[in-house]
Amino acid sequence: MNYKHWLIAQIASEASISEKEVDCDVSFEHFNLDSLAIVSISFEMESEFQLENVDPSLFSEYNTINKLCVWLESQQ
Amino acid sequence: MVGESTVKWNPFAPDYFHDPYPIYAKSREHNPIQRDSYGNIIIFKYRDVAPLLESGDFEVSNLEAYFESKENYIFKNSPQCPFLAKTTSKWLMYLNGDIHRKLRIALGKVLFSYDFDRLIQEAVQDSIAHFQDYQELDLVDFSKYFIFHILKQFIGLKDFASFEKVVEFSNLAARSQDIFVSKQMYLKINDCFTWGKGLFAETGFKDRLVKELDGFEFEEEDYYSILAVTLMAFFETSKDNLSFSLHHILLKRSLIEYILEADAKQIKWITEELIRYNSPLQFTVRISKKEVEIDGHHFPTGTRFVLGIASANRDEEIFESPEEIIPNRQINPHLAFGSGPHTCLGALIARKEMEFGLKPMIQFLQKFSIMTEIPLVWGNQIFMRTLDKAMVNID
Repeated sequence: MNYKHWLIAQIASEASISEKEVDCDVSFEHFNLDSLAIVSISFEMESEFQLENVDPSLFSEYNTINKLCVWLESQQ
Repeated sequence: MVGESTVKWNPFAPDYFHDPYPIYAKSREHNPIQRDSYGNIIIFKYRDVAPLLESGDFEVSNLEAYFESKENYIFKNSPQCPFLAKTTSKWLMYLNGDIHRKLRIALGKVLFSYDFDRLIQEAVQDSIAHFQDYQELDLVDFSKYFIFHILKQFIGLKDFASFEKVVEFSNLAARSQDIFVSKQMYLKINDCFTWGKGLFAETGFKDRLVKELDGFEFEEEDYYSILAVTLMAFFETSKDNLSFSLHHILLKRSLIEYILEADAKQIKWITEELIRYNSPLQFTVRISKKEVEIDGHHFPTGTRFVLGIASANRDEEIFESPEEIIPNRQINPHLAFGSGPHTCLGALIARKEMEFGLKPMIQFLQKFSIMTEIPLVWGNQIFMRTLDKAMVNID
């Protein structure tokens, strides 16, 4: 599974920007995502990658797409 | 300093929904005022929660305004018509000031025009008769059946408003108030609010409501909003309180014996104790109207406080042996119904359900035992704790 591609598409859609504008090394804060958007991406992650009860605070701890990819890989 | 301790309330922790009380206890001891990553201030101790509920320096949050601000986002790629803000616009627990006061008085008049003593006693007999021949049953189903039988007698449901539809509507309406809700869930709730319009009959409760609210210039959707919140508030917390209670009682022979032998006053004591212990509404929200100080911490106007009602109700500073159900606990200043101007309007009815229901229900259910091989199933809800399944059978 290409986590990075999936996350880029999600962030672009949630932040209403093009995928080309999504930098995988900048903090999620940069995309102005509110708690509802973060919870909604967490929900999508659960169903897409068969994860249980994804904690939205992951997005603070692993705060870039590249960091979150590392976490996702560790879950498989 | 708020938020520096390593003890943090986290509803996404494993086993949280099964038992949130250990983290409440740790929070009270080590970090009673916490700030989450979205700026909410979460409060766990009774001495901080109780005065805040009563204080005029705080108001309730505005759920309608929240949905209005989020509807563009939630419905961005959806064909659904937004209905979240409309449906929640007249929910009493999210209104402040004059409209709250007037609507509370009107709704109270309509609600208490019904003879709940009779309705509850009839529902108790109906429920026991319905489950009479069961060899095993789900205490949650039993509780739902009982509350539904009271509800359908007063709120005015159309013939096609089946038990299952009411259960689904009530649960999704309850979820609309939770925190950390995804847009996917909001879309499901919105769909439910759309078909839910077909649940209610024109006669009965709505008819009385229209007469009582003469002069309010309410539209059809405002009446629907009031019916929706009445159904949810009546059904959901009563069902949860009763199912938790029956489960706890059947686990402990001494509680069964206490209830079977109790007089009216003793039933009132255990009713209050079970409500304290269960606290179906675990949290509520208040917003500061001015700069406030709590335990030496200063918070600006507009701070969002998440008040741990269930945690406060197990606070050892107030309640002796708070983790135990003490059936004859006589000093019991619990906050399960809130406190102050937003005290639960249906508290009296919730108490009557237990006071009339507990003894006959336990007389019937005492032949059943908890099926320990089938684990309890808890719903994934943070604010309104809910039990999805609790099986019992005859040995």
